Amino acid sequence: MTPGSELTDAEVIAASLEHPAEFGEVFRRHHGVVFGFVARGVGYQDARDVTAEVFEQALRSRRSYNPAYPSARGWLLGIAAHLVARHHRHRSTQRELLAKQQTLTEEVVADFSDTLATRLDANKKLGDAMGRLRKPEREVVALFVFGQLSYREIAETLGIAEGTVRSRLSRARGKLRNFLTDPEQSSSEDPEGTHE
Amino acid sequence: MSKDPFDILRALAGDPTPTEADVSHTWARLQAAIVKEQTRTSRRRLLPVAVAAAMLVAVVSVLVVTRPTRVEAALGEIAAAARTATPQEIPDGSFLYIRNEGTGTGIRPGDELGLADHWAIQIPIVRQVWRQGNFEQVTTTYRTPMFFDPNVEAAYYAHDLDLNDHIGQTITQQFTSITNELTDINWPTDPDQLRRALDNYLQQSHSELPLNVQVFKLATELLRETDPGPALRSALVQVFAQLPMTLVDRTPDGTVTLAITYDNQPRVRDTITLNPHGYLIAETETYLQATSLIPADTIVSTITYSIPTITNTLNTPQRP
Repeated sequence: MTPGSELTDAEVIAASLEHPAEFGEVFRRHHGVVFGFVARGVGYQDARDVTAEVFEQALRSRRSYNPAYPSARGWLLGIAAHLVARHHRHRSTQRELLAKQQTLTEEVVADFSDTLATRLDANKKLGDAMGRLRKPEREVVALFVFGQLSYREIAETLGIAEGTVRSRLSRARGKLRNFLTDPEQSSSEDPEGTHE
Repeated sequence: MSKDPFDILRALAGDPTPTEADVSHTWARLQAAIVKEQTRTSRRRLLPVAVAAAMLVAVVSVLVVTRPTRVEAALGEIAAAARTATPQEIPDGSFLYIRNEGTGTGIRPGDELGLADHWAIQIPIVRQVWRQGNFEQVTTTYRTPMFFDPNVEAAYYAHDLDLNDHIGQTITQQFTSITNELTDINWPTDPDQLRRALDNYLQQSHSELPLNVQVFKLATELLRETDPGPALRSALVQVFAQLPMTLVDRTPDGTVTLAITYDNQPRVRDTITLNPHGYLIAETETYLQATSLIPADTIVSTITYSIPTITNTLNTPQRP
């Protein structure tokens, strides 16, 4: 299969069931988006390994892929979101450390010091803004803004109705608009509330 | 600049783009996984034979495996002892100290050594952790690795990979604002409720392993490098008793070693060792079948855990 193949992701994944090497095409199509999504979740330094884990896990679980969805982006980002959460949960226990031996290759970490200083304020503001949202809102915002998924893809990824995606995004947009223009206005929000 | 808050968020987050090295690294790991999958696919074609063999193994296992009631009895005693233990308090200025030693097997792409095929390595690691609230200091010592192939070993040192792997070095890191989603959950301490909570938690998992195996791994994780407290520790031990585990060993002091076996291409056996008070003191992972790089019955991962103690310094405590 060539990178220019006209097959849908679902068809590529179906082909990879018998010929696993075909799964490389899924990597070629979606690596950039997955890496960007993961990097925003765990930081640049760990993004490489977590992204690799996303594709390894996707390969292993490809038999459970629902062929009704032509694009695998939502599926991959769902796995990525799970691994990002796990990354924060685990960090590195002894078990994780041993599992990571296979990736103890050359750790070349790019020098971001020139851009880091100018981005610190922006990152803090980003974190503060996302912190103003309730968890269900953060999920849909992350998938919409950073994962570039459509409403329908987000609904499929999270197993919720498309209308719920729209209402959560609308509510989040309103809160963020207030906060990003005047942070004090949103200070009384309950970020961890669960009511719809 | 757009005033749409989502556009502002995108601008704030920037656009993390993978470098060529990032892409190569991830691609190499995926290729290694694909090689493993190709082996699995070949094996699936032999499924009828495998099923017949598995049935034979199952019949034999039923004949030789220790009866589950012995597992329940052994774990029942441990659960009771765990529940009555005194909770460990960490005074201000002190730390929970844990020391672990382990060895794991890594599979790496051949291009690192100029080889056509993947290769395997085992690096022993000593890990010490000091924890207080959201603070953590971790000291990791990388010891001399072991290889399955002397030619690979020679190439490994010729390419100076030991420097990249920090062999012979001790690295200390300090973390603040540590969070742990798993231990932050208020898990039930009734064994049946805990089992249901673990099952619910695992619904978000993408693992293809049987649920019982996933529960085993999650319950083990809750005991690993954490101090869940007497009630939860006791409940976790009782959850193990509900799983299809076999009793491998029981010492006179009540320490038990349990095993769970499952098919993860190859077939794998995990063991855990619990001391009489329910502390996880060791675990192993063994490949029961050969792969292209690893012989059958190889212990691919082994870890021993010290019992957590309280210390008031960030130095290595004197070992008793």
